[in-house]
Amino acid sequence: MKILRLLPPAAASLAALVLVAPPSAWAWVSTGWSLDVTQRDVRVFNNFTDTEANDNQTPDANFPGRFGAEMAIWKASVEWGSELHGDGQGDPGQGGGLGSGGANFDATFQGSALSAGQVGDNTHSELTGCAGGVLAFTQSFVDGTGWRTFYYQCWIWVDGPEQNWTPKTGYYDLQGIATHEYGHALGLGHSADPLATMFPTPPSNGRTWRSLNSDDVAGIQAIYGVKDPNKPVIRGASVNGSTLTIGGSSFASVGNEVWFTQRAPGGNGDPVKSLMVESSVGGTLLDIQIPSEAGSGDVLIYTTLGDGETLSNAWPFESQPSGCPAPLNYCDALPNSSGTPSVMGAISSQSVAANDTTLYSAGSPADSFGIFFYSPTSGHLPVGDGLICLGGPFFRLSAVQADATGRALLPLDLTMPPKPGGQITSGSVWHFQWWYRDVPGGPSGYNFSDALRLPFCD
Amino acid sequence: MTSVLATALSLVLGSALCWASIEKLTLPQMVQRIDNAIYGEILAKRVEAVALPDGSGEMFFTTLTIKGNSVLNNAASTVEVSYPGGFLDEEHGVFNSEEPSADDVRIGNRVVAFYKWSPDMGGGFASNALYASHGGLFRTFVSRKGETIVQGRGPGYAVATNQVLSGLEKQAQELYAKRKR
Repeated sequence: MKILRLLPPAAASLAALVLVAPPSAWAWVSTGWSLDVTQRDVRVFNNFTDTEANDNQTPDANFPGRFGAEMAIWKASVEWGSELHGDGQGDPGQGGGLGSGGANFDATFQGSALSAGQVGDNTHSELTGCAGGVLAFTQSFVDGTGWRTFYYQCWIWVDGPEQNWTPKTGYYDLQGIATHEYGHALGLGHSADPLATMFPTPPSNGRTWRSLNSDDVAGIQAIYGVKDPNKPVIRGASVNGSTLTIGGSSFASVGNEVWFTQRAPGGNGDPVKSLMVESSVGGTLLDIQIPSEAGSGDVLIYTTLGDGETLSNAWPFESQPSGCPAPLNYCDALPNSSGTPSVMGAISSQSVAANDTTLYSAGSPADSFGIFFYSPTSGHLPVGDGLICLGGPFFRLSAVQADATGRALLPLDLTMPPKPGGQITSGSVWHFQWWYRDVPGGPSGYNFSDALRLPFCD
Repeated sequence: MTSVLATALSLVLGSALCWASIEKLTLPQMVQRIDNAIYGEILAKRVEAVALPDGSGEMFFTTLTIKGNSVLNNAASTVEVSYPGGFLDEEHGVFNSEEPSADDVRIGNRVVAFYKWSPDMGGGFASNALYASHGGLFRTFVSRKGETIVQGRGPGYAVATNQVLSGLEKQAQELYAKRKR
């Protein structure tokens, strides 16, 4: 009797479920484990014997200090990341850029290993021999405490980055196959989706596997979660002598760890760390001394504050960059009436001698009036409908009107500072921001862009 | 379900799983690459550990003994075919995603296996390599009509769809004859 009474509602519920539940199109497979934050390292034992595996000797600003097989495998690991790696360039075949899938597994590249190591040493290397049609394989501990990937020597491994090398029998794209293998290391088995990177057999020579498919992203997000809105995000890094300045958002006010790639080959995969680093400007800026053991690679920010432990995206880090330190955006601009925040930038050079720097701001309301201003210090103060991200003293430049696209431009004349204290000289670092009118945007009727930290050189 | 699986797998202390990618093959490509193929019964299975050079640990290989007839020339034979992966016991070994499932390599199963001699499958281990690991082994069953059906594995595999063994043998033998010419 009870059953009879329950059946109609149960049937109705089932019918409702069938009607409202979207059909699942995913075909990814979980192996049942995940890597914790201590297993984010990736190293390469570059024993690849094919000329084609190491003939890419073109420097890439997004993968500083690495070439050939090491660079190809590094690219494969960042494809699983939560954000673009640097500006995302480095793979001509990726429309959105490396890391554009937002898969939310951020790895720390730890450079060169001196051997293949053991399972759990998180290395990639070539294996002498051949097992028929097996291209490569990844061994993993079932409790998520690490992995090791081998590529059989009987295939020709090609390091890219060009997409258009002529496919030949027995030639395989190292970056593409490494992207697949790293997916195994992260806890994905083989997908039944033929378009997925985790499908068991690569199309042609595996080049298309470089770019994750939505099925791969769905799989990794099911294991590691989607990106938390409060996750720290690095949006830029600038080296000035022995100081590294990192710009981004959601850094902890205190207690940040900054992870670097080790400078020397070998090691055990543990990142070089700067501990207990404080942030400034509302968690958008970090200044740290670069540890002597740190080398070119990438930087990440780890924090245990807030909702458990979190690790940022990986950002390229050149330990000894040539030329002037890179400009750096920082501070969170608030959206204006156009629905977007206004963002600062600079074009042409940072050379005092050339005197050709032009400031710009994009994302303001069309035709809005505003003023660029600058300061030797950073700050963080709510003012009007936005934030002042400079600390003063302030130097005000000429008034400018944005164009119909919301973009304002102002060529700087470094020989004519608004006041003597605002003289920009070689070796100095200044902070720039754009104030603009936006009456419909909020009660105060004006707002600010984010800020630009801009070093100047000879 | 995932956590249950993880827990179950974690009980295998000290063991590791092994995942891989394999060559995409059509039947003509497979026949072009192999030494031979056999249709027969799995009589035995053993696992061996092989030390890698430079202190890089061990690899594990599973070897199947299959008795039957060549798919390429019908000659009766008994062959040993190997693939990377396998467990010596519950605590020592490597599971490889490319290896056939435990159900596929059960002793007594009748299978079609494509293989090629490899003097070094890793760590100096020499054997007939099951070509493309799980991609080189196909289970069979006998239909109500008495036909032996070879079970395909889908796109990307040498036998993509189910087909009658005699038909597969005919195709493979024609391809092999062309290859010999």
